Amino acid sequence: MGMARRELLAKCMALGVVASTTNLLPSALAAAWQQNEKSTRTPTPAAELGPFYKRLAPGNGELRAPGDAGMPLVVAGQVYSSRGELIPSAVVEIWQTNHEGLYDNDGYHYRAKLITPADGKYEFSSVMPGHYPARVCQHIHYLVSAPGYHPLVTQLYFATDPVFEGDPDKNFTRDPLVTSRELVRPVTLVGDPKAIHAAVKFELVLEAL
Amino acid sequence: MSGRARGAAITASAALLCALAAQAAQAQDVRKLSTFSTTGKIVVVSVCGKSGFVAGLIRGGSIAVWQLPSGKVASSWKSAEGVSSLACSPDGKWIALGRSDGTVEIADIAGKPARTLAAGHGDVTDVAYAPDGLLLAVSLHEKPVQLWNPVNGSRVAELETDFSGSTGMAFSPDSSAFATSDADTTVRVYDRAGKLKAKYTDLLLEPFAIDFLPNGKEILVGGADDTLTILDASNAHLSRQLPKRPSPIFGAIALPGGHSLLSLEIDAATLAKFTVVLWNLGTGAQRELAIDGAKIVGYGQLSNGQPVLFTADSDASLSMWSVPD
Repeated sequence: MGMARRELLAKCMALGVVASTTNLLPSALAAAWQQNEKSTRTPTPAAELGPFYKRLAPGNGELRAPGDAGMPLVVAGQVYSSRGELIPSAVVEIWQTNHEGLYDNDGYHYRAKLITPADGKYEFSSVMPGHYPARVCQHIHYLVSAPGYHPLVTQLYFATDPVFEGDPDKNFTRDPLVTSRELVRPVTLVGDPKAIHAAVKFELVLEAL
Repeated sequence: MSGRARGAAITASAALLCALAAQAAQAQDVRKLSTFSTTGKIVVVSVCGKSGFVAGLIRGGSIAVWQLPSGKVASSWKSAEGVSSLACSPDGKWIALGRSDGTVEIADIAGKPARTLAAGHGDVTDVAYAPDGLLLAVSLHEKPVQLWNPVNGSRVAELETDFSGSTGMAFSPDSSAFATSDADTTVRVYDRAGKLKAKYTDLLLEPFAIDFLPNGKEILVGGADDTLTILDASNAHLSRQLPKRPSPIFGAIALPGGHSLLSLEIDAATLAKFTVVLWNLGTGAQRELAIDGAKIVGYGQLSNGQPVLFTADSDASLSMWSVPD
């Protein structure tokens, strides 16, 4: 596909259909175009804020306390702009239920407010959230903000959720609040068999104001 | 007056006092006034001011208007698909229907469309008329509220949030002010032109419900912190908080007498069981009211000022309850 597109551009330039105002060769221009296309990212789809957002969560990514019930979970990713630039100092707020599907509204268990370093990375360790009453899917809430970008309110879902019966492509709409298949992320089991945990990669892409 | 006559008079007076006391006690209790049959499950109702009507949205998109307190159907019609919210004008002449495509249709009480407001994209989750009927608040899913002129169909203002939308909205009794409880945990107070006048930012959790007290000088807020918070409407400063409840408060109603409040609460663990609590505003005393039904779908007053709550029952019916004030 890439070569075909490059050849097409070169032919168009040769035919005068496309004119270049730079001194770049067609091949260099096409490569730059390809690179630009590769780095462009689609903004993360938004989803409902949900009823139990809480301000002033701690900045600690260790959400799981020793002895907490539930499958240990590590979620990691990076925060990008839709132009593919990493966003430092982005604020990633997350909140979820415990293993039994209950939010901690009195305290801040399973809540965090993380700030991305220069490479835009974030990571937190938690447990796989339970099924909240009146809600179909397991989910983790996100509120991501950074100066110069629209705040992103979204949710992370898990491809292993029994609700999807192993086929999230087909079944992700079983929860009417799942706004996009993209928000249902694959889950990898990693680590020593005696200390196994689930791992999920969830990249976040913000739109500029 | 003879001793016997005096004794009889005292007995009669005592009986009268007992009867009055019993009547007063009865008035203090919640009572189911009537149950209306409906053609389907009720989603929401809106009391049309004190005009003697209540309008309801029935699952599937039917609209019905009933006379109060008889429950006689005044009009009914099948709306186009996608109606998600409803408000009746205080004069009982107009119905605003919020749709899932971001529009609001204004129809007369018989269902004849008058105009359509293009508020934006997404579900219109709530609509509310100002008490004077000259402003219509439109809440879109996850977006800030808009104020519209329902008479000429023009947008007056688009309000603001830091992120997400509003969870509750209320006009002051004299229609001069408007307040929103917002998902970004802020309470904002605007003038009727939509100019922000004050905001309260000290809540940690989302507020879910808001109302003005009848004097228009204070604002009542309830939410995920299980607490009723009272703010000064002029500057949004904290006036006081009532004792914390065990469950999130999704409805907060200032009763018309100015002495009592209602909080509507839901069990956070199950999201199924609701509780209605009557509060004495002066003392903070609270009492749970015995109201059953699948869901609370509306609140308003009868023509005589009696406050009433509406519940959708598990079958196709709507119940109206008087609540003490």
